[in-house]
Amino acid sequence: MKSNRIKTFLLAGLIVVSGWMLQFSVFASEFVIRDASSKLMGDNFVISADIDYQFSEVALEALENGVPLLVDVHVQVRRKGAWIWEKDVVDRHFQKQIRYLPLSATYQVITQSGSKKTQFISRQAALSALGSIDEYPVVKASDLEKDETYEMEIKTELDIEALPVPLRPKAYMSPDWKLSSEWSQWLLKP
Amino acid sequence: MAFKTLKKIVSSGFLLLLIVITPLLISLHFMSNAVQNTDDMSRYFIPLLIFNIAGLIILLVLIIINLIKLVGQYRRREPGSRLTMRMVLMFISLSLPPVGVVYFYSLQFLHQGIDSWFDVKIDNALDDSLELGKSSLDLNKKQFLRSTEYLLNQIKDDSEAAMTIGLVDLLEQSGATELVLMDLSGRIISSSNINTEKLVPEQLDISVLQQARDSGRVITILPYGDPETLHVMVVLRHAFRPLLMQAVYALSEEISDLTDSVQSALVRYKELSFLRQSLKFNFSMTLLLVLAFSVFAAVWAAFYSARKLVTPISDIAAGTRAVAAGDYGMQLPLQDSHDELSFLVSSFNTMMRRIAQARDEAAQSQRMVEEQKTYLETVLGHLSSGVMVFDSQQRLQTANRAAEMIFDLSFESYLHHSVEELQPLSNVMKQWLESIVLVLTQQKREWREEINIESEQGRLILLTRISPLLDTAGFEKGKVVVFDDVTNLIQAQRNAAWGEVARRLAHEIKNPLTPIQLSAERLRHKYLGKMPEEDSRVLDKATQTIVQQVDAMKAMVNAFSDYAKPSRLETKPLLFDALVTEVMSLYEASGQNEVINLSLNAANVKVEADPVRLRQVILNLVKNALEAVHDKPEQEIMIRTGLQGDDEAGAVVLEVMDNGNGFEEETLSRVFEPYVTTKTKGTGLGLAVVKKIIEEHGGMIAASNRVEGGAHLLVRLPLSKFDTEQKD
Repeated sequence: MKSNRIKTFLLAGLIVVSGWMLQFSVFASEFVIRDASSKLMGDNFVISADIDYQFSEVALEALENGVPLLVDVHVQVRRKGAWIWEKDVVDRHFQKQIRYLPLSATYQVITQSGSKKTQFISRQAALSALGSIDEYPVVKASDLEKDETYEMEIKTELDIEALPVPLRPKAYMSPDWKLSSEWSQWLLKP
Repeated sequence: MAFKTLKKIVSSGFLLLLIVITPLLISLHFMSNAVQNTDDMSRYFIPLLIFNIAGLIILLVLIIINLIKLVGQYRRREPGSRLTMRMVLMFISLSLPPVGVVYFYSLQFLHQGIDSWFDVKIDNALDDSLELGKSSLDLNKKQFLRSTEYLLNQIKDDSEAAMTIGLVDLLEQSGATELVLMDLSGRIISSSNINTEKLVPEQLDISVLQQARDSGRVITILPYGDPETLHVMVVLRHAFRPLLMQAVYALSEEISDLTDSVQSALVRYKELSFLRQSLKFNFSMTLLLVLAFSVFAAVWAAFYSARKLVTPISDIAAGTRAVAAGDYGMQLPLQDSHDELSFLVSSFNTMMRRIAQARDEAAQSQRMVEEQKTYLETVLGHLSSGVMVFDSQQRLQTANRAAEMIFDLSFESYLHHSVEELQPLSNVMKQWLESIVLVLTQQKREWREEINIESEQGRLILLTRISPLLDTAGFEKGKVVVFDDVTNLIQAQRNAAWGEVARRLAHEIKNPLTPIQLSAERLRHKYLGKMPEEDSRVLDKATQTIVQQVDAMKAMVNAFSDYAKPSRLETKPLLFDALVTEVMSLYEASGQNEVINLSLNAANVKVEADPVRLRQVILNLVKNALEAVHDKPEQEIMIRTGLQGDDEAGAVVLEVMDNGNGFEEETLSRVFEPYVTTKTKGTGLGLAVVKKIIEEHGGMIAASNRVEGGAHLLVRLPLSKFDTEQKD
């Protein structure tokens, strides 16, 4: 009798926790990577991608209220068939930020730690610019072995750590802020 | 010591409390930092949140377990459970309301505090400042639009080279920072910048291009240049030609700074306003966790404190039950604290120790008393003296084995019987008690006397000493009577005295007898023939008398000498019946054997004896019997031999009985003493010598009177060991 009660209690707890975890998985992929590719340009392999950043309503509301949103683009190059403990050839992060300027009613996209700022009068244009990765150098061809095949993969997500501190707890717990893409990968033959 | 303390801490649940609560408290502290403006801590918010929730769940589970356990104990009516339940409820009811009130008002203050940051007036002021800024900028925008329209209309040439040259001139005239001419597709035809190092202008955004194409003009403000300042960008479409002009104008430094400042403040304020709910949520959640922690910790503390307080009380209850059940060895666990409860437990333990000590001492005393009693009984049991203890009511309390042997009685069933009840037990007992009963009733210090008792077996002499038995206060509570059977001792002393008398007598008298006899014979020999007949007859008679009397005296002295001198026995195994038969044959010649009735029943039984001495015994006894029946008309003497007991402890018995006058009652007990005789003739040493010889052979002799009249003498001699061994 007593053990049944405990089992029911544990089951209810498990269901609640599972439900809470499920909401993250359902709404996890709001960002979609399209046309990711790489090519050799000079001595460097460069990556180009078109990312569709579909922010949630809550995130867009925050953006309209002056909260800057930072997206992190994570690029990895790894030897094909590498052991799990084998070190990545490349493991790089690119950051891009979008913010709204109310006085001019424009959106600003800042790339690579503020080295480049671009102003957009529409949010759509700004998001397009945010999702445009155009020939970013990733790895030198000389760093890759010719007779090996490599896997290049890219993923992007909203950086919650870059949000204002008061927003972070909510962001960590809400699926509206758990915005990321799936890994997109392809082979690279030096 | 340290290990004991550690063990105590672990067993008390305090360590568990410390393990669960301390990290939780630290974690809550970090979490409160994380929800505030601490960038470093905020990244640990989720781990901290999970940790805290997990900690609170553990705490809750522990509380539930404790609660279930307590309810179970309460239902089973276990000792201390009611008090624990009451204290837990009291602690919870005391701690919950204040915590709840603090939580409620804290939440209120928090929300109101956060809301108070965002005043409606400030909102309006900021909106107004935004509008004002926009209006100010719009004026500049209009001015720059007109200027750009003018510049665009100045483009007359069709060739790109001419346009480029003209554009440089226009840049100088207009005061713009940058001028760019492009076609409708956005391809740059010509550009000019006041910064000559910047040869290629920025690519126009496609949306701006599209808007410019569609609406004819786009005016926007953007940061531009290095260092960045606010600029106005105008993109204008030519009215008639497929041309677009992008003109960038620098705002005045003052307007740029002010606009920047207003925009920053506005963005910050809007951001904060937007984060208001998040802030409330964060603080509320942290406060809720703190509340949950406080409540759980308080409930836990309630359980812990209640148990801590109730444990010693339950222990004492269990201890009192143990005492009631007779278990005095129980020691309650001491608490670390030094409060009244600890003092109570300590006092209880001390009391238990003392009770146990007293019990042990009592048991030891009892053991010692029993040992003493056993010791005393052993000593008393092995004493040759008889010991009897009477209480103040003259009731028998104790009698030792020697007493039983002396009286030939068993006192086991007569303990606590009075003197009057003991008297009928035997004649000896009666006489003895009559002699001492007065002393027993008197308060006398010491009393000592030889008591002569006449019994069927002869006279018994008991040397009796009576001492008062005092208790610890010195009061008399009875009497101790110690007595010895000194009959044999006195008899031996008497015999020894007689022996000495006889020896001296023999020595003193025998010596002059021979000269007297010789002198008498010489007188007779010398003067008998020479004296007249009358005189010689007198002399003859006188000398005859002297010689006869001297012989008689010699015989008497020899008899004394025999009695007195130490024996030199030459023993050998003898067939007893054969010896008796041999002695009896001596009487055949005189015809005396006709009155003797011989019954021999100890055939083939041997005794270890000196044949001469034993023969003397038989002769003496038969002679005495013959003398006793001498004047009787019907003379009858019975001599009977027999075997008594088994081979090992057995004896040969010789009984000589006659139908004479028997012994006189007053001399019966002393018939074996020298000079005790009922005959007119004789030395009075016959039976004394017989007794001496018998005793020298390890035997005994007893004399009594027969019921039908006459004497009865009983001789008992041990069997020959040699004979017994041979039989084996």
